[in-house]
Amino acid sequence: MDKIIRINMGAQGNPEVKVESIGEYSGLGGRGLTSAVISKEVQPACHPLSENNKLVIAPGLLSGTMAAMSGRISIGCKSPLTGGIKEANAGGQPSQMLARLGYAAIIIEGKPKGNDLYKVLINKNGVRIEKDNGLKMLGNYETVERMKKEFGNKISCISIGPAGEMKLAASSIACTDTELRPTRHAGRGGVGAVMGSKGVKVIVIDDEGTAMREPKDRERFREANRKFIEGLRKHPVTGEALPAYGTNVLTNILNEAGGYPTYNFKEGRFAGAARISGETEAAMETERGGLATHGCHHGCVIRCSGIFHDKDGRYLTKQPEYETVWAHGGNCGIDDLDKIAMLDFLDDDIGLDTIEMGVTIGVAMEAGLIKFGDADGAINLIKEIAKGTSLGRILGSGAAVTGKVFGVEKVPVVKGQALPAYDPRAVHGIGVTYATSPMGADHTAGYAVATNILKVGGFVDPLKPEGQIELSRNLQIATAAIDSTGMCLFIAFAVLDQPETFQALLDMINAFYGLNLTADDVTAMGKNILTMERTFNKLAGFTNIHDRLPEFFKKEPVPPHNVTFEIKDEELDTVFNW
Amino acid sequence: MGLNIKIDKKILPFFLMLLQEGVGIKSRVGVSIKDMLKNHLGITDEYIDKRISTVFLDDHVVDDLDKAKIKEGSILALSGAMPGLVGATLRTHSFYASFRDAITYKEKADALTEKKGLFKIKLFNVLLNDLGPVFLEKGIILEGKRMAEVIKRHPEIQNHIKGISLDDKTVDLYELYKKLSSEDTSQAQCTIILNIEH
Repeated sequence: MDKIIRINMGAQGNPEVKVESIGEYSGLGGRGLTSAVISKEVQPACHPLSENNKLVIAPGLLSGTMAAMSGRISIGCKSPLTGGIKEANAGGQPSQMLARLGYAAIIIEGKPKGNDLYKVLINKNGVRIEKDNGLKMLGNYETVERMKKEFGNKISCISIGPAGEMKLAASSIACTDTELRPTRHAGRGGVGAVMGSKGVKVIVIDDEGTAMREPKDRERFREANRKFIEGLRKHPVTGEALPAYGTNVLTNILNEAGGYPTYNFKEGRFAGAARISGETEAAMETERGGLATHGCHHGCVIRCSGIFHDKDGRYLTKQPEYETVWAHGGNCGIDDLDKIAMLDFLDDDIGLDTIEMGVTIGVAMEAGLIKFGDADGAINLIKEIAKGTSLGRILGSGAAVTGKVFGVEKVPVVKGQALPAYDPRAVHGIGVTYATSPMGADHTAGYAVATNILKVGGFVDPLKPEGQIELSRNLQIATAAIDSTGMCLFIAFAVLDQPETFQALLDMINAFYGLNLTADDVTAMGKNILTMERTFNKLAGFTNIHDRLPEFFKKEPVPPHNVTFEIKDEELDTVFNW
Repeated sequence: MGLNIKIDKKILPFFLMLLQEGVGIKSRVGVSIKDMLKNHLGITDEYIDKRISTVFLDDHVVDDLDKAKIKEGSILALSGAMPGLVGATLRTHSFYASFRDAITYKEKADALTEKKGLFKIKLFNVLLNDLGPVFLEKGIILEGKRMAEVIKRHPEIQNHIKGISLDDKTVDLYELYKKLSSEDTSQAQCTIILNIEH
């Protein structure tokens, strides 16, 4: 993985492809690499859809190896949704395949002059780029079907749907899963719009003729991987709860905690929660001949996903995960899993971020466009986006734009990006991360958890209220580092509780690259990434005022606890003091 | 109404789902959660420590099972360890407890008299399969219409029901459904004891 593919879509005549050495980006992967390229090569003040923005697609440091859970791919750019730096990541097969072909990144730059649409083929023979206007405005599912007919079914695809082609700020980039379905999305921040602005519809990756990446110290690597897998399997979250119920296992819990945002963050509890819970979803999937346990990429041992069949037992979509079920479900007052699954399918096919779309529809409901609980109305609104109507384009631009157009005050966004499924008034600590993450409101930005146990980020007293700032800081540092490895963030639970599992992860990286990284080095890596991202945002015009939750979280108590967000602005401003 | 149903284990999952929405339990109140689980329900210390990782009492996250007391009408919810930062935050004695200080349970009652009473239990995720049968066999209390809904949604259960007794009279599944869904009785509380054939 020592090469970078650089595609200049604005080259004279036709797009130009160069394969170059990784050079100064050596030692970086995933988010570390995407954020380094964006920081160094993109003008922070540029328009996100201009020729000056770049789209960087990077497997993680351990992708393409035998390491379990190493199939995440990072996609970075200047975000059309937030106006700041963005890294969105996804599972699926492309990360492993790209890494096995020896590529640390694909950098797409420039902008084509006309309206032609292109497809890119990457295989052992090199990189080929071709015009294919027959793909225009196709959904992700049909696009992948066409690629299968042309290139066979041993490929993986990275594609955009109509939303990306229309350059809508809520558009995602789809990655195919083990069944070659476009179900894994780098969803957040409108990365699909940037791919659309470059005129690239699909990247096809064919790793035939390649082998697994070889570690420098094979025995040490194998042993570390064995311990890592053992750690994941013995942990109750990664070994039991997630495989059995998927991430949607959280619905009942957040609802019971009164921290489950409902009716556009009006209440913290949803009467229909049990009807859309992970427990109900898993039972329904099994009953209909789908799957309640399924991995999104080869080498996944947690297998938190599933296959959702419709009432007639036919494939409808992959198992909608917690954030999706919440955004389209509880947040909109919808308690019908079949309708939520249909919304998930439409989002995947059109190429939309499910969190952004669920929150956007919640805002549209608040505006009175349709009523809360109107599932068919919600489906119709998503279909408007695929049609490219004026209303559809407004909705596809996300919650912040929709709120402005319809005059809604209560719009749950930070830096223009919709809040995920945890109410920060009930769980203040997550609000600190929502407010301050360089990515905009993002529940995964402070997810990886190895703080005091391993002294990552220094020791803090978690029982003191002021500990929330330090904890959020350390969580964000650890997450930035893990996002660079290509590891699925769900490994974090085992890493949190089992220091030996964290050590096994470090040992794998060290054995693979012949390094001696310590926890301090991990901290330094995470800080370095966050510093790059914060600097980019500052140069793009962000100030501490952007590190705030919307005002209503401070003034509107959320039932049943009737609490507000109480972390002071001055405290938020200290999160990145290190 | 008192309902006694003998079932094949195959259809147990349909009844377990009732527990995620909560069912009434007649037991002791005025006792700590730990006391209830251990001494009144027979759950071992080891199981409580290892498997019951997330506990809510009356909407609040509980850290100390010995101090938090169940009262008449309380709602007790039990779960295994949950994913995500917030999942970790909600666990008992979580390292991240400060994140959810606003919703952490603080016992205000000093001394409560232990007595017979009624409270609601909810079971989630991995605990549904582990503890659900314990509660179902001891007896649960719920509105008749909820049981009627189980029959309506899963008519296939008729092939796996070995016998039904309603207020000491033998009835078939159709008669039971009619009774439980009739306007007169659908809101009435019904005590249900499952006899699970293993």
